[in-house]
Amino acid sequence: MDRRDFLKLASCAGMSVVAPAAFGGRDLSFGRRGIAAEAYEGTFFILFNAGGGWDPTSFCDPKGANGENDPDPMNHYLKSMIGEAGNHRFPMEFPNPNDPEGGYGTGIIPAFFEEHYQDLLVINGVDMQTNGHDQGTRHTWSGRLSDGFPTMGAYLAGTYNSTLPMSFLAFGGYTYTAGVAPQSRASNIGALEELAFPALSNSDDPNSSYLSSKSLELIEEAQWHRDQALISGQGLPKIEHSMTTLFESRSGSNELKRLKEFLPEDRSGGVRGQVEVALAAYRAGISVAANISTGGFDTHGDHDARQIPSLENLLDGMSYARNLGQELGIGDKVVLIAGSDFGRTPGYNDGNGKDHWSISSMMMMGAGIEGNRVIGATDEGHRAYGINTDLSVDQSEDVRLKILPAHIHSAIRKRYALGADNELAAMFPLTNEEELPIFG
Amino acid sequence: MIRARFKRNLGLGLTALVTSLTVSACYDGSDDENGDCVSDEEFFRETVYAPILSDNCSSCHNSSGAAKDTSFVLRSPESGPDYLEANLEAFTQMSKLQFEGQSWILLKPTLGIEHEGGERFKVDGEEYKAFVEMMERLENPVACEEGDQTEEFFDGVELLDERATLRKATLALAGRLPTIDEENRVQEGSWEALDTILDEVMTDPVFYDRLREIYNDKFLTDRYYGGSQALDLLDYDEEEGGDFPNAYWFDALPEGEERDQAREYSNNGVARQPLEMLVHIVKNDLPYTELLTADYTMVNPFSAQSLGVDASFSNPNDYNEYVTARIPGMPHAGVLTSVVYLNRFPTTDTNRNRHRARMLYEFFLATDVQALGNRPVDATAITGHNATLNDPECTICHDVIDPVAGSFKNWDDMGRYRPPEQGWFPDMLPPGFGESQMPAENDPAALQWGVREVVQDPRFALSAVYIMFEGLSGQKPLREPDNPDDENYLGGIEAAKTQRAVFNDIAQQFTDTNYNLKVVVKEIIKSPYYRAYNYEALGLDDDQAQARLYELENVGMGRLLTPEQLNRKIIAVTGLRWSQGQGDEAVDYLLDENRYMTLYGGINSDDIVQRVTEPNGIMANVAKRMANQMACRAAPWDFTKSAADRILFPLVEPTMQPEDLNGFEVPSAASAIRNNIQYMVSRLWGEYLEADDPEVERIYQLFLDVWRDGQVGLQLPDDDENRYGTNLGQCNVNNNALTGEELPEEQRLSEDPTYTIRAWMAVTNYMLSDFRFLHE
Repeated sequence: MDRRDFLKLASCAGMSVVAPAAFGGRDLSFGRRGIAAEAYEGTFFILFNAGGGWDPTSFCDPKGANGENDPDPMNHYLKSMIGEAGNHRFPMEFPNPNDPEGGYGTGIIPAFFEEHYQDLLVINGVDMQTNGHDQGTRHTWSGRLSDGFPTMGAYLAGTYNSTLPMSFLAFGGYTYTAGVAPQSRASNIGALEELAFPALSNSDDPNSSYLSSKSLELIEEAQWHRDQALISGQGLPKIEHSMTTLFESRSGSNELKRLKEFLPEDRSGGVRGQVEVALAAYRAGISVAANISTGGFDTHGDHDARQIPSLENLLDGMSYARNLGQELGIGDKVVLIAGSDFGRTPGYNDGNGKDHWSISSMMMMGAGIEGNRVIGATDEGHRAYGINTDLSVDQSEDVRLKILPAHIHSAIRKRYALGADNELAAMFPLTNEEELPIFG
Repeated sequence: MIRARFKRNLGLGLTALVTSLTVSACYDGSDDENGDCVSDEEFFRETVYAPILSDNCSSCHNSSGAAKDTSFVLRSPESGPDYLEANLEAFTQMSKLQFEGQSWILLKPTLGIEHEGGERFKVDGEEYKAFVEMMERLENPVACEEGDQTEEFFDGVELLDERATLRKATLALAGRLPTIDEENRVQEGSWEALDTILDEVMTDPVFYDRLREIYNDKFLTDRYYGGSQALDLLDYDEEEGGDFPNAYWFDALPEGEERDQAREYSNNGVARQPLEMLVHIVKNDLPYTELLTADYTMVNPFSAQSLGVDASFSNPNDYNEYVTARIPGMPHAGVLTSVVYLNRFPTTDTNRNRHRARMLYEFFLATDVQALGNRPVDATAITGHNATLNDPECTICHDVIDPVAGSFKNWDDMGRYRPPEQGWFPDMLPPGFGESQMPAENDPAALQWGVREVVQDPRFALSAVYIMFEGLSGQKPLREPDNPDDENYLGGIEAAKTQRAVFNDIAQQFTDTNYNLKVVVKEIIKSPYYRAYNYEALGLDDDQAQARLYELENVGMGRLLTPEQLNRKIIAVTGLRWSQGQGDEAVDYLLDENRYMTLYGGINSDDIVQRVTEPNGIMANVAKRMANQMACRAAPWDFTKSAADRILFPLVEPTMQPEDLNGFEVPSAASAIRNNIQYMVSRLWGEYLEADDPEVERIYQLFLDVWRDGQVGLQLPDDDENRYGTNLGQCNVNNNALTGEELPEEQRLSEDPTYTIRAWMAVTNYMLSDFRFLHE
């Protein structure tokens, strides 16, 4: 539903809906009121998606084997190999049962916890309620098992400024936007630099414009009138939405040129490279949220050999984002959130792999997050315990409440996205009846 | 455009039903508060099934749920298009069972008799009253006089007429504008003529490019296009029993261009096996069922050698010539047994072909199997042995997937035909499809047996409609909403029901014409979903208007063109490519991954597989850059030609200035300029406007303002930094814009002393960056 339609409906229904100035852009002004001219300087959200279903027992919710002869080990590392840093627990090493001299991993996993435990919030025992990849990813990032809700990055971008050229920057993961903010890609950074100056044949030469600046102004002026005429005459919500999105995207596209200033000359590859572009986009004031995507977690076979490197890749990227943000002086503005489709089964299958398991975890650190905390818990078989509304663990048999993605989204919305004062909250209401004070 | 209107309708019943259920508990007849007749089917769907059965009962009462063994088992929308009828029947049967004179359907959920699911609602609660009302209706059925449901749904929606539909279709299918002859024929012959013209359009090679794009968006097999990526999938190791020892036959050629080309052509022949099979089937009007049942594959002269098959070609050097061929010893099953398809959708020892089965359901049975698990499951409650076979939390999906997975049993993780020596996994359901189990004698060709079953399923025909609809409209087929708490739940139900009826009708025509895919294309193009462009609510109050908008939420064009489509449209309307360089060495900006293809929302079939369908700031700048560059390239180039040969400015000359030296309008010039603007609007936007239309006036004003600014700039002193020169600068025409070859001096164009060419560049720029140009 279009926001304007929603407001119309809400008005009819007597609902009280606050439409903050940041939501502008549906008022047919399309950038005329400087909506996008202001660089975004609020909190920046980097959302790490571990595609395929990570195994929390291999890092933030460790279980371990009961001994070398455990007939049905949860993990191949022993319980005695579980380390601690503050309130966090994690495996220190990953032996290869078939090769006493060998093992997996390069030490990144324990190093991550040891370096960041004071900043890190882990939520264990999150019930994904599904074993399907699409459903799990959607549940993690939209807060709802069924479809129709926007991914967290789009929700946050739509909250603060959907007209920025990279308002919601996505390198992958769950990217359904429900129309609240367009998804941007940055797959070809080199080309972005010339696209930042679309009227110049040479982006380094301000005198290389195809038309005079006056002509360009006149075109823009005519376009603005044309856009208004088109949208005011359109009655189908879908087409009206398409028009609005195009016109809004145009209004913020000039700001793309700021990106060039902040992109590092030598960019890394992989997750680190994604982080660098995301932080540059934020520093340029043109991005609110970024999906960072990394895969390799769907380890139905040869679990340890494949899951551990994937986790290392992810945690290295998170660590890099945290440290680079601080190095750049924006550490207090950046929030990192990591999640996955679901968890992986307790123990190993015949192929030494682990299949899908509906209990997962999420991790966060950064601006406004009190670290050195673990919320929620699971039993020895990685079944979720319940949770009380004071965040204490409920180990009773008749569990009343389990942590769902909706609880986490609800807390994030409350802490970072204007809570119920956000018109998007009314458009996409979460179904959790209880609130969990995840951020205090 | 001509407005076509359906008669007034509207889901007034929807609004009223919501009100009656949530506000009033008074059910006093078959009419709603507005006096509109509510049929039994409508009542059941909107008052019983959606808010009560679906929300409150179906989590247990489904085929795999806790109540799966009771006599009251409900179906979900994912189970098939007839789920509502089946659920009404289940409700009817349950209502007939009585205990002490009361119906079980009322006693069970109110705990009037034992119910393991506990009390679901109170006696005399709203749900209870809805059940009573439904039972009364079963006793005294209510049938309403109904018009055409689809027409009623689209009441007030404005649809493209035949001429505008023709333009949209020729651009979409063949990447070109309609010819004058085609426009005349469709104006004289109406929709019947459009059918004939579309048949002709579908012989255009560009149509087959479009088909490849649409199906590659699903199959993603172009991941292996280029390099030797497809060849590398072939098992060539003869000593190890490899099937294709000749895969790299070209290595015997001398090093050089010929060998490189042979490698490329061989690879691309293998990579394109599935897509070329589709092209072969459609081009030759063969039944679409062959996409699954064909006992052959497709080869070009080069890939035939790699695959070691005998095939004859009319031109053995033409890498674009594809013919059918059989690979010895391999039981083909259409696209499913091509090595690229099997590797694009791989399997593992523990996945056991379930991924392949899931994709078969998605592509060929219009079913998202994973959506069966949309309801919350508690996987941690699974404690029994072999959960995928025995536990309802798992079997809800696995009962559907696993038999089909079994039919892929003879194809290993590398896509090779390798029947398992130990047979199929005994801890899985045996190979089969639906209720049918594969007879043992079909074991060596299990997949061939499976696909014969699949193409008999009504969902197979529907799947082709789904794929083509998504390809042509950019929209996914509607799924019935599954959350009754959503505000637009009922509107979504109505919208999905209507679309399903339209699609079922197209699927039936498809089946009746021996699965000719061109029929699907034509029917989609003529459907209101493809032609809807506006809506006007008449005579509705605010609530009704809002309810109506909920229903129409997903109706209408407004699709952002894909990079491939935009590329073709630019060529169609300007005659020129938007490319870096010209001629053979040119690189199309929108088709090259290293340029703007993925930035503009395209896919690379590898790690970027989802199209971006809504523009963002980067895409807006791609469009701006295109408009700037193409205006600079196309406008001056057009003026190098005689008026009769021009495609953008046939009605004006650069010498035509809108005002004289005293600032008075030059009527003849102004009129010609307006006429040319009208012409450009029709060519670039497909709109046929009158000369006094406000949009024509707006564009004329833009031309005039730019021209006037030019006059001021041209008059400034030579030493003024703001002075405009008469030279077109980087927009000079020194080379042939098509070939890149240098032009003879007399054909070159570099001077614009009147500033009119630049004014026309501004107009072209404005029009190329407009919504109507960038969207379908």
